[in-house]
Amino acid sequence: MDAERWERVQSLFHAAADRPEPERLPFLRTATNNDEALMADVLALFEEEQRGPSLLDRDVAQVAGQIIGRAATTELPFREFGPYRVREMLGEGGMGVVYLAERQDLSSLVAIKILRDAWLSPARRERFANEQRTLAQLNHPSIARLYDADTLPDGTPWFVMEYVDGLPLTEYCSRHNCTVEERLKLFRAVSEAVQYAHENTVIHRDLKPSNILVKGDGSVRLLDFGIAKQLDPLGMSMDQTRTGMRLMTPAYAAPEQMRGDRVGVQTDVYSLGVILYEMLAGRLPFDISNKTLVDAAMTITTEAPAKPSTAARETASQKGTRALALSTAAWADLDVLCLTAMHKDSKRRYQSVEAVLRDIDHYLKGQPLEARPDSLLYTTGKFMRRNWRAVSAAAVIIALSAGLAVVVGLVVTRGPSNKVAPVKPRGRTVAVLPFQNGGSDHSLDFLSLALADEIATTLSHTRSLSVRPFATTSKYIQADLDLQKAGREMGAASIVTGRFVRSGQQVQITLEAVDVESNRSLWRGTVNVPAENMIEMQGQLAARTRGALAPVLGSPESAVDTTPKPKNEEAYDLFLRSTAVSHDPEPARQAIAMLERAVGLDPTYAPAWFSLARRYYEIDHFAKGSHGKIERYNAAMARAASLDPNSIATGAQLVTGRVEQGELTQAYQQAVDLVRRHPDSVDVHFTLSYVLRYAGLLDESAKECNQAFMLDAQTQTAGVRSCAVVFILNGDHRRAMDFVNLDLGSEWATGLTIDVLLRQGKVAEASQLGSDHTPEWGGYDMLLAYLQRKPSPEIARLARTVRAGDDPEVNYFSAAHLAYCGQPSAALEMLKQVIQGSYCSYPAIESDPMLASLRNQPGFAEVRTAAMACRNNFLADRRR
Amino acid sequence: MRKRGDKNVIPVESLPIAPGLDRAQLNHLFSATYEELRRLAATVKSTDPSATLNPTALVHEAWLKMASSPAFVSTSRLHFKRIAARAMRQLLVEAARRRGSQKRGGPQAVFVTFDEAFDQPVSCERDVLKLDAALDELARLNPRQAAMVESRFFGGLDVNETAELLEVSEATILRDWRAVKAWLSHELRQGG
Repeated sequence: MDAERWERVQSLFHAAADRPEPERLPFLRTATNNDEALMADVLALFEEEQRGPSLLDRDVAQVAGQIIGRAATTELPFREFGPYRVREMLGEGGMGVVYLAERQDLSSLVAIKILRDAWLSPARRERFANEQRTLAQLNHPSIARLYDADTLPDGTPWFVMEYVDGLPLTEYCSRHNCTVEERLKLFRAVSEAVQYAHENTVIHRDLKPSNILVKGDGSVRLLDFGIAKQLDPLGMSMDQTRTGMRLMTPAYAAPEQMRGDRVGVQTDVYSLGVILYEMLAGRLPFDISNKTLVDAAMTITTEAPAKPSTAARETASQKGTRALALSTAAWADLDVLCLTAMHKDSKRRYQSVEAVLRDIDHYLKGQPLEARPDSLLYTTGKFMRRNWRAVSAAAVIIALSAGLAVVVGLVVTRGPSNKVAPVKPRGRTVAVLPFQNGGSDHSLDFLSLALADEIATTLSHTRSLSVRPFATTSKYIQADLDLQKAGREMGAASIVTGRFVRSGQQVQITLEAVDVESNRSLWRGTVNVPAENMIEMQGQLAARTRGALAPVLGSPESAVDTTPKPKNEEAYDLFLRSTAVSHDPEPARQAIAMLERAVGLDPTYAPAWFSLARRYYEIDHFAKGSHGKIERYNAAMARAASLDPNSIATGAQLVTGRVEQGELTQAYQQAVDLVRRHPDSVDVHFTLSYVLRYAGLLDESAKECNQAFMLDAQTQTAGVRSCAVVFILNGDHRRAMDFVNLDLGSEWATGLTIDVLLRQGKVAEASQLGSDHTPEWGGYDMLLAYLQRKPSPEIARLARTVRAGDDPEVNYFSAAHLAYCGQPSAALEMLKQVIQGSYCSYPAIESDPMLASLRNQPGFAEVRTAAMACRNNFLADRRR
Repeated sequence: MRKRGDKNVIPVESLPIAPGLDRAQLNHLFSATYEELRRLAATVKSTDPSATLNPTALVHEAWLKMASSPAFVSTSRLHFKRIAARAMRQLLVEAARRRGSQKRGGPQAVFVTFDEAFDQPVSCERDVLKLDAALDELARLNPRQAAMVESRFFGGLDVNETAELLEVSEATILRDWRAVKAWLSHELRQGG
């Protein structure tokens, strides 16, 4: 049959079908002009309709059920796996089937897991291999051990692990009628195993009682790392930092998992919270058994669970049993413990399993818990302050990972760039975009950022090129990017990008340079490098970049090679992989461990020192309870700066650190030196503005901000937006909003908008900005309560929650808000701390309308004098 | 650039299954679809065969799970369903092919059965393979109709969605479906 005939057959069929049955045959005879063959084709269709249902009338579900839903036992093509002989099936899951087997020579029992339908996709094989690797890496008495692994002749992979003869956690508890203390001890053992996994950069992601078995001797074993995630190297693949596509067990899944957001160690903390809840209350926090996935997700992300104590009482009365015997005070503690672990906002949970363990221990010893309902406020305040810090400091950072923007929760939306005439980039500006992994080996995904970073670093060491910060370029990650558009957005004259493919032991890297104006390819080149030798890779790539790429981009001299060179393979590999590690506190600690090892192995590689310093900086500022790393930060910065004195990023970071440690004079000298050496760098001008702002030289600071803004009309560089503060303080509100709007939609921007509006006297407008979208530092909740005319005891209560933090600039805002809300003594006290922290705040202290109520207070003169002295000291030092 | 919600991001007759998705993304899609199918299959097995989770719900849930994945953010829901339908077809065909060859006793197929003999009807696998071949033939005769069958049967798209995807009226879909179903059923019975 051909298409034409098929058309014909169909039209005859439809025409005949419209007629009563007896008329069909005569109609067809006439219509086909007695063409028997054609008539037969049409009649065959009618005949087929009479026959009743065919495959097409069945549901694809039934078909699937018959073809792939068959019991796993009938699929096992082998009974012998090396020295193991399969006895029976233990269970099956989405990925594989687990069998009980006996090792014949030793007659010991083991569990064998095989990947079902291995042919299906490399992704599944990769995941299976990932579980195997994970188990091999974890060596802990409470984690099922890996013994052996191999592949069947047909390519099906399998591995052998410890056979655990035990009961699921919750079942064990109810069977043995465990006491609260026994339950908590079991839970503690489980948490220790999870903490151990975290220390080894593994997140389990599917913790639930059925994955936790308790043996007859009371010891626990954690099973099923099937969707566990490596925190570090593979983390760059977005699918893996997200929940992924496997159906996790919704009852124990954290809200961020249900939403498909990033997961971290706090995701496991949540699941542990649910498990503890179930162990204490005898039921799950939410009944989602009859819900669809969507409804379940809704419940988990929005509904508040009953307190475990309440749930326990209800369960007991429903079942006619007795709830666990506990005092009211003990229940109150366990309620807090459980609900802190299960907080819907991952930032408000225990930030690590270690913190959970500490509170379990506190409880068992009868000590007060670290988690308290009111400490939640503190935790978030701290978190929001991180945002602030990231906003003000990130400018001077050439953040190595795209992760940062996600971590600090900035919503980067395009600001008022249309109000400013775009400035033609000066010099030859180049943006290096992330590379695409063209192969299927996802263990190399980290290269997509690492290669781009490497090339950007090499290019930035050639004199005449201005390289866009990696924080800006790294978000352009998708494969089908419009390069011209991206180039224009970044104000780049040319774009460098490429792809890499692994084949065997080689990685082929294709580099391409594109001219943005003409959207034409300028140059294309290929480098073949060994996959296992990162130093070799770096060397060849750098040579090619300097020798061929840089000249094409307009760097005339094949400049002297000042690029830092890695010397130790392992150290360099650790460094590269660390760039892909998230900036969340826990992974950041892992990154620190990786980098500490890297600089230990190769103490001459400046970028590793710089990364290490950055990590200490972030963790010191951003993570709760990890102070005291400042010395290590300073030491690492010093090494980075002495090894690579030309790096803008290092210089800028050095300045930022000094400013925040109160060393304004030295910071200033360094910043001026940077500006002299790199007059076209946005980051450097911003860095100088930052020093001047802290010193109270607002006009000079504003000038540098304007300079930075002019150099980069898009001000993609994250921190430049914190210039808003300068303009708030010097009263240029319109200009302040230009910068605030660069971060439109973030809590930071909402907070600063309120500040601007109040200083303009637009009280009604300010009070309309929602309280649920303001930062939690700086006392914005007090400010809004005040604007909504809440009673004064309420304001006074909120005022007491406004505490001084590490960054004197944030404290200045707190002071202004306290003053505005009629809390003069608290405001003055806060201002003293501001000035002690070397945030000079003069002349703002005299001109800021929000401080008006303070100026007739008895203590004000003293504070004013201190502020002036701060600024004058700086000026005097500067003249010297 | 594509935006979410764009209609007809794939030309109907384009049969490379997913323009704009790279291999790795397809890989993930296939894995996910496979697991969905297995879940579906398990539902069928464990309960009354007539009371099943239908493929529409299945594809919809798969979409919900994957929609936030960066690989698919730029994919419209309909486009996604179309891809999922193709994935299901390929999966079932590949599974049928492999199961079929196992049953005929491949080179190393030494079967173990513990407590359960395999007495499943073989016809289902043969039917799926024949349907696959017949659909290839139909694609040659009328690509739009082949896409219609794939979307409706394998992907569980309803008449309305199929019509939207293929840019034809619902009446056309219903009409085509009748003729095509009869023709395919005929082919299924005829073919080797």
